[in-house]
Amino acid sequence: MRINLSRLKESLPTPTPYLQEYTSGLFRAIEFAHNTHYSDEVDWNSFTLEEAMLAMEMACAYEGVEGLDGYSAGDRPNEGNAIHELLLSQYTIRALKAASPEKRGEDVEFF
Amino acid sequence: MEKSYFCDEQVEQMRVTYDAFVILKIAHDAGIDVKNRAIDFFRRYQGGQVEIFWRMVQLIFDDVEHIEEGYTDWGSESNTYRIPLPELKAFYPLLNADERVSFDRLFKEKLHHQDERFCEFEMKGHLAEDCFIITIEGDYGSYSPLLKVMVDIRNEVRALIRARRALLTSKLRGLMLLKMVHDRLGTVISTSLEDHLNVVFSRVMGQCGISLTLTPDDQLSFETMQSMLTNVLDQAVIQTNRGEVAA
Repeated sequence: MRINLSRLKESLPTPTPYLQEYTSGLFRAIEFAHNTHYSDEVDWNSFTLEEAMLAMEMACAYEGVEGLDGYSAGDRPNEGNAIHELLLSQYTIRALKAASPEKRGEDVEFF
Repeated sequence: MEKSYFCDEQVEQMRVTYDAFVILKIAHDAGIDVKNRAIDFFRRYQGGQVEIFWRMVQLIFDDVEHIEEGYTDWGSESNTYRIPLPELKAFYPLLNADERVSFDRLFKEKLHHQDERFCEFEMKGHLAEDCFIITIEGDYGSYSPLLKVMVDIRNEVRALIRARRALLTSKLRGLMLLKMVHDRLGTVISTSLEDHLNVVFSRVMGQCGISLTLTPDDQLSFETMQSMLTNVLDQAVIQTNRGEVAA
């Protein structure tokens, strides 16, 4: 699949301020905490303690599916939660790849 | 776009697993090799992380002694532990009485921690002569903040010991330089020994007629200072003797 990165960047919305504060170490901590179970699989030097603690705060603030009933229809209680944002972007990328737009015609440039 | 990717049960698993994960990160930063120990940190239920907490406390502090158990007024468990902190035996002699009271109060405040989600879960504690005495009340809560507090206190005590010892060494060295001048020339130099040794040395050399301006950032060994001062004092004594002979 060919993606025109310049056009993709132009099409993206303005980055939300809180997302810009999230560090790559924070997402590394989240990925290790979710994708591994054993301490020997984690690169403990790739994130700081503050990033791990922030990831834990995100987990404690995360609203489960059952809890969504307590919110109005338009509310997105997990919006901005780093765990949710990471899962959302991983889902989006998987969906993009699964769409396989290049199979629909030659010379397709996705963005 | 999903509003939530987890059911409530998965969220609880996530929270308690993160608590275990942060406990291991604290232990790693404290020098425990968790990389070469395959410790399973996935936990399904609240309370599942307690075993990892005590295992890391044992590894970091070498010992844990369960000294008292009971119940709070509202029926939660209350358990008291003694956790060694031998650094205190070197720390307390460096403090005067007021400082000791002040640090006791400061560390007692730091050891008081109440869980944000489980309000019955609380840690209280104080430092005794060579250990932590901590009491944990309640059954469920986050344990990583408790470990962080204890490790932070240990790090703070170690840093204070290093700083106080460095200051004592500096003051003793300054005293030695002043004594050298007094013994050779009979001169008493007025200077504060609380200042950086480089500054004291500059003042001593200045009093001996050598203009020298060192800042705390300049790297000059104490042996070099002694050698330089010895040379200056030797010259000064020679000059004085020549003067006496001429007279």
